[in-house]
Amino acid sequence: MSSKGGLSALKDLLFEEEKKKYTELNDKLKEVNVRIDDSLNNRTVPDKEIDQIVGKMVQVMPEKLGPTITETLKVQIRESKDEVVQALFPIIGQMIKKYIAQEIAVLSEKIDRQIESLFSLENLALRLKATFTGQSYGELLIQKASEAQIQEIFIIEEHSGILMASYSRNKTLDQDMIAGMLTAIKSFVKDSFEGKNQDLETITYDAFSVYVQSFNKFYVAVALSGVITAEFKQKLDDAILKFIKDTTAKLTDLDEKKLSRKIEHHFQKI
Amino acid sequence: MEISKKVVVAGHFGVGKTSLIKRFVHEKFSDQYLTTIGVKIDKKQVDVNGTSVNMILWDIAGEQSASKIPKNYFIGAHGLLYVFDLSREETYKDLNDQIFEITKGNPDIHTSVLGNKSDLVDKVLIEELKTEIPISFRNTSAMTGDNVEEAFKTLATNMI
Repeated sequence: MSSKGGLSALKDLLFEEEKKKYTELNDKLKEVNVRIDDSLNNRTVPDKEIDQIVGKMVQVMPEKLGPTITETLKVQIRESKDEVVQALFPIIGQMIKKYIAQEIAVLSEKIDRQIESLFSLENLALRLKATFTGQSYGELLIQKASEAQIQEIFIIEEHSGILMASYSRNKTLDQDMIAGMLTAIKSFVKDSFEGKNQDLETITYDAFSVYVQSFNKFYVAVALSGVITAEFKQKLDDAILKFIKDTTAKLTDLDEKKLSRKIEHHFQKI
Repeated sequence: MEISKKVVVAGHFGVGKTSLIKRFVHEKFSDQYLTTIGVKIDKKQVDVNGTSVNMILWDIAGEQSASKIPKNYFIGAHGLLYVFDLSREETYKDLNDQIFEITKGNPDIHTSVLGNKSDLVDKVLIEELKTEIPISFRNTSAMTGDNVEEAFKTLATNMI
């Protein structure tokens, strides 16, 4: 007997039991594989239907589970306020920082422009004002940079809301529709609060406001940006009254374009 | 020549006022305004024999009764489009009262009555309704666009 043959006989003797178990295990595995293949081949629901069911579930899930998830989130937020604040604080903080930085950049640009025209008559007047009023020149410069600016002016028929004339610094929306919408808001306020002799005066939205001055058959709406001081409001009131006084007789004679040019020319002085 | 006219579009809830306007108009404000103050403004320019008519359409949110709508919305209107649903009797049974309520402070207003959703009802029923309802109306369908353009253009012609 060679040494190789002897070793094999020894292996057979030592691992006879294990070899038997290995063969049994292998057979069972083969059987399981055959069963899986059979059930996949003989299944009653085809792939297409499964896809449809999954698709439907995806559609229905937000509707069915949405309220439960929302409620769960609400409860979680209510019960873990500190954690929520902790998580949101860095994000909100960053947002506020970014906003302030942006606003400061805008303000600084405006101040730069003012300083560039340092020797203009306007700035000279500002320096004189600072000397006489005791206010600092810088303070006056900041005030000037953030002062109100007319963005749009509308002259609108009181009840119909039909636009008679308008001026716009940068036309973004349809002027006729803005006139209609302003009139609708004005009518809504008047009707809701039953103020027979009262009228809507200002609509404020963020740093933007619409100042309304009503006359008998029409009203003037001025859209403004920036800080509206009492002094500016007074100036605007005077300018509107003067414009109406000078133009009332011609309001129906002038066409919309001519009247719009007149508005632009008149209000540029403010 | 270019002229502007205010047109109020009124009628019961769900009769298809906004859909009719959507069919006719392309320029429009966000629909949100309608739910906020009860009115949405749209605009459509129509040419009537060389005259350009800017129709400023006030789409009034549907209410059960015209008496609940702020009166100021109707003041100064040059035209009224009163819309009802041909398939729902409750939207036209009090037609006379509803139109009277809207027009009583504005006798010069040009009124057009539209029976909308003609695609949902039988032609025979439309003919029956034309004899039953005391006010003459035009049947429209915001769904198919049937008669919509004509309804607005006829009103524009009547207003100038």
